[in-house]
Amino acid sequence: MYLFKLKAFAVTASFRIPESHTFQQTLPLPPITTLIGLVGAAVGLRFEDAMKFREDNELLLGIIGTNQGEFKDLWKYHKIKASEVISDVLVREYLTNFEMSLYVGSQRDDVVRHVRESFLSPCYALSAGNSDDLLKIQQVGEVKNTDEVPLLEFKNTVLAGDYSANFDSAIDLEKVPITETIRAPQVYLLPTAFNFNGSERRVSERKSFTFVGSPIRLRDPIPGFQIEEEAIVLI
Amino acid sequence: MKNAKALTITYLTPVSFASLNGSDKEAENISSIKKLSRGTEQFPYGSSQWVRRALRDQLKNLGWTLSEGEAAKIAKGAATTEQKPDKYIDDDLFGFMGTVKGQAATTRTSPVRVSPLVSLNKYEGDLDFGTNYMGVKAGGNPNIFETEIHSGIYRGTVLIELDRVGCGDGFKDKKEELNSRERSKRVNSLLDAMKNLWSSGRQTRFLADISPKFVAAAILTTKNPIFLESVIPENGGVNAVILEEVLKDFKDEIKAVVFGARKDMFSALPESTITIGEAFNTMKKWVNEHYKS
Repeated sequence: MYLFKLKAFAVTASFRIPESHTFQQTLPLPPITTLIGLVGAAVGLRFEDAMKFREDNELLLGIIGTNQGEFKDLWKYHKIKASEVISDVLVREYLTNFEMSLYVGSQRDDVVRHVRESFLSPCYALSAGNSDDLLKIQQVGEVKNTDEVPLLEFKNTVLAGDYSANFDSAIDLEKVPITETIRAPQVYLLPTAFNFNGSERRVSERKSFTFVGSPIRLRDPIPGFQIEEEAIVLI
Repeated sequence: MKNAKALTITYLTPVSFASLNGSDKEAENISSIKKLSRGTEQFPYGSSQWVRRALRDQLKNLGWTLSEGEAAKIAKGAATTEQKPDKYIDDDLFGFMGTVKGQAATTRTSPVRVSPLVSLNKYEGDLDFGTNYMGVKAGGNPNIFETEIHSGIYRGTVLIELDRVGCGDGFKDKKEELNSRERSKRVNSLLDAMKNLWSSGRQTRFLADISPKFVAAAILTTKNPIFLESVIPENGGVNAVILEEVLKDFKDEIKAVVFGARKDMFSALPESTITIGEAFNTMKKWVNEHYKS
């Protein structure tokens, strides 16, 4: 597998759980559709084309990320009700000081290099969720040819599938500061494919993803990549 | 400036006494400000939509006619603007999304990206106490209230995608797209709005100046807010070492860079720092050169 790593930082980040409206909760890490959108923004593709680009090129993506805090932002907006414009509010949840490592991989060397070049000079400014969640690219690594290895331990990442019955905590409570929040893995059923009709899109497929926070150890290993200190599975 | 794609500005604004951006009510008779949490501390901030509102208002003050408040054509949904980026500067710079039932949505992703204005100093729990006597003459009792206030240095960032101003999505066709002179004019007006940044919220009792007092700006061949987290106040000044490191890391992407400051407000600044006015004039020159080339 050819892959490269990109490091980025955002002051604010927000990955809205689909179908949430007046309280827009954030996922702890960007879901696969957000990652595809990010690649699309770099390459210069609309979301529909970015989805196709990923499929055609068997592009795989992996994410590791941390944040230093959360907050709820109040949005005031104008909406139309019974043909009248009225003011209303919604609450959106955000992460702050979000740091991420994005891994982009494919069996095709040329595709990975093309995506890497795009991240060096993105077509659209990149963001961590909303268009104002400015994402600073800190480092774009070189393309490596690496083989998968069986992996057991993960933290701060997203795994494809439901691992809620296949893990033990790997937190060393002796070393965890009292102010640090312990985060158990969370499983979400998220959209992975859409039917597009012009600017309208409808979800055509959903899959389960396990969002891993604090360290876990799986009971059965899964294939992934060990890149320096980071254990990553491409999805 | 031929291959430039973006202009990024990260700025600091010291605020002495303010209640900048109101939040949802957390307690009765207390007007809260927006705050984010990091560990056990809370840091006040002005949201990006609040900064956008301040920029829009300043563009209006500068004499531009804004496109706002045009109700959507559907019976239910979010109200939107006129969606005419050729005619209105705010539709061009800040983008829009319009929906009409049975038709494709018209969208324009904002070529101006705005980060929130986040305080680098924690919230200390300060409250301003007030009594409202408005109802006394009518036989009511005085009503006490409190307002959260804060003092500290705030940091924000703006990234302007120069190649997307005056063209692209939202414009009906090539004929509607703006010429380079008009693009320069709009970006330069946005720079004027930034230089004079002022928010209208809660200013009656807490007049606060949020115009930049230190700016680190660069025109780049890539779209990357390179100073985002790297403008760091230190001992009354600005940490120049980190800024030098950023310049070194991104030397291949930077076409030109400028640091500007209200100099006497800072004890130490990068060597090449000029005044705020000179820095914004330098940025305007870059913009003019970029669109001429």
